[in-house]
Amino acid sequence: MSTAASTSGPNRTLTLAQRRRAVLDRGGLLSSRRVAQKPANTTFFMIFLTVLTLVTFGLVMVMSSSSIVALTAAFRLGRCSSSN
Amino acid sequence: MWASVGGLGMAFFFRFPYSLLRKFVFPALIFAFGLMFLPFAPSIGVSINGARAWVAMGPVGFQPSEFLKLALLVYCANLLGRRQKEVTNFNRTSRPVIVALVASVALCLVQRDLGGAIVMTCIVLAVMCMAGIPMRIVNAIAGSGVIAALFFTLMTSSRRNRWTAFLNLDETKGSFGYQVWQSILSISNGGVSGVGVGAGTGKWGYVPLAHSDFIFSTIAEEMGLIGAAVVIGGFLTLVVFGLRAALHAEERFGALLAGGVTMWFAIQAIINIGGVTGSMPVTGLTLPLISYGGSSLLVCMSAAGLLMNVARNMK
Repeated sequence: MSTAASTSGPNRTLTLAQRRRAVLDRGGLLSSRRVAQKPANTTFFMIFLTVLTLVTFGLVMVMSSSSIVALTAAFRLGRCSSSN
Repeated sequence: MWASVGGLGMAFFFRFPYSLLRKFVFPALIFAFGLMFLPFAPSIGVSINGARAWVAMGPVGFQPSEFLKLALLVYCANLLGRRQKEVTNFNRTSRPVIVALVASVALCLVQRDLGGAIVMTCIVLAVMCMAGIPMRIVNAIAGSGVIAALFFTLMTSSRRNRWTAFLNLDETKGSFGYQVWQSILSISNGGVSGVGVGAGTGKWGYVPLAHSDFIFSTIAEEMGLIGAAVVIGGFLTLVVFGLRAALHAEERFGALLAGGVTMWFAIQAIINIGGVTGSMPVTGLTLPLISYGGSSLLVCMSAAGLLMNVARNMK
């Protein structure tokens, strides 16, 4: 019943993106350029990839450099022995 | 855990329409100022290496000055962006920015966090330069900042020792300059290709804070010149594309925001890498986006989200 009603409504031929735009425009958001609506550009991708690379690199290096701290703490708590 | 929270912060600030930030600028700044008093609370304030700049609430610990950096940047970008036609009017543009800067720096210095104070001053000066504030005002603030920093450095023996170690590392390598000397040894141990991830020896107690402030020495030791070049190249790429985003931003607020975030990362990276390699005095700053430090990572990733937001919406 509800399916029949939605397919016969005014949004019947609209795609999901068009309906999303219509909802945003009703709130005045699109007109005030408040929503990221432009296609992604090279600058955005370069910043995104660089940030991702630095954070991933940082995570690996933090794990590596703090491993000795974790190992010392584990020995102190008796969770490891020298034979391990 | 903090990296996941930072990822959420980055996604939020990327999707959040940055023009709407203007509504929350002043409350955010007041909130950040309020957080700066938390380290002085007896039960939750934590002192590390002489600086009382951390807060520990149960399992969660953070450094409030990191949040203040972002709040101060957004405040200055908003104010100078809105009053672009009055940049020569000292009372309308420069004075509120100077008041916010002096209050922030004073709170940092009370916490004995000189590094945070230097970064905040540099961020505000960069935003003022980009906004077109007369250079005599910018130079006066920079000059006053240098004098205040020197005075603050000479005031206590620990900071004087750091300065002495920087000026004469060879003679102080067994005492005050031990950390920097060991860091330089680690870097030289790395060579071109490094000793391999996990195989470095500097972190075995020779280089204190190898996972936070001195992580660059671990990177250079374990991944060699190639790893160091990746890090420095990454920051250079961020600067180039961040400034490009600022130049092509669709509104002045976005331009100042992108420029401010870019200069923040650049300045903090320069001071950190300079300290680790002995080219500058050690100030206790983290390497943005890389060093261990939950609040630093969260705020830096959120700022990176803002930068991406401006880049996505540029002209």
